[in-house]
Amino acid sequence: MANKLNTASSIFLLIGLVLIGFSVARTAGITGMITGTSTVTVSNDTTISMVVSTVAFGTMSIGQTNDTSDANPPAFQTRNDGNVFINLSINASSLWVNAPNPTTNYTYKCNNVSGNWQGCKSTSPATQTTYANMPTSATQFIWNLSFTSTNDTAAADINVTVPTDEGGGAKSSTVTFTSAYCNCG
Amino acid sequence: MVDKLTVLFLVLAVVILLVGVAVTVITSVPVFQPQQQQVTQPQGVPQYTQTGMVTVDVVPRGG
Repeated sequence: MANKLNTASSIFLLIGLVLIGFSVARTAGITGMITGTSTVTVSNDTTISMVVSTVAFGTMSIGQTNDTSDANPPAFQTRNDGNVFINLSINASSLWVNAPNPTTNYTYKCNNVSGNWQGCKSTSPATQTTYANMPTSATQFIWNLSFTSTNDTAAADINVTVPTDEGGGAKSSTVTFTSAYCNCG
Repeated sequence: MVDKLTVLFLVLAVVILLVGVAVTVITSVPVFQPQQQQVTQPQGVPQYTQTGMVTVDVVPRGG
């Protein structure tokens, strides 16, 4: 009888020690499960493209004013083709000979494109929602333009007034849009 | 007749067994460990530029 109890108690003791061993091993992270870490790096892309790249006002007379807010002619449209939120800046060469930039005769502002509600947020102080003189150096005018396909396009309205002392003929201005990563999404 | 040493030994084995089972159960409960995600601010993300054109044909004065 005593021998049987000794054997039984020894077995219990052995099981107990084995369980404790498992517990200690599990607590210490010593298990048979293998873990690993996979790392994927997605590059940030701020690529933009012009949906509408030309604003042609056509024939205008001295002192005449026209703008693109009525879509005649259509405003510039810039699309965020990247994968991050971006800010857009604008600058341009002078349009008029006798009224170089910046001038009230050549102004711009952001506008929304139909269906793209994020293009021009009036709640953002970094968004130019009213006409401002066209700058000669890059000036931010659209903030936090999304990259999602339905909200990735914004417009830039242009307003021109032919100076009273401007000579006749063809006038043109190259407008530059610059994108920059916006850590504000 | 069971001697006292055998009983003591048996009791000790049972206690150890119970402790082992308890510890095993406790450590087997999944513990939620929050994943820490480190977001590195992109440095040197290139800027892109696109150009457009504004054109006007001004009628000469008296034209």
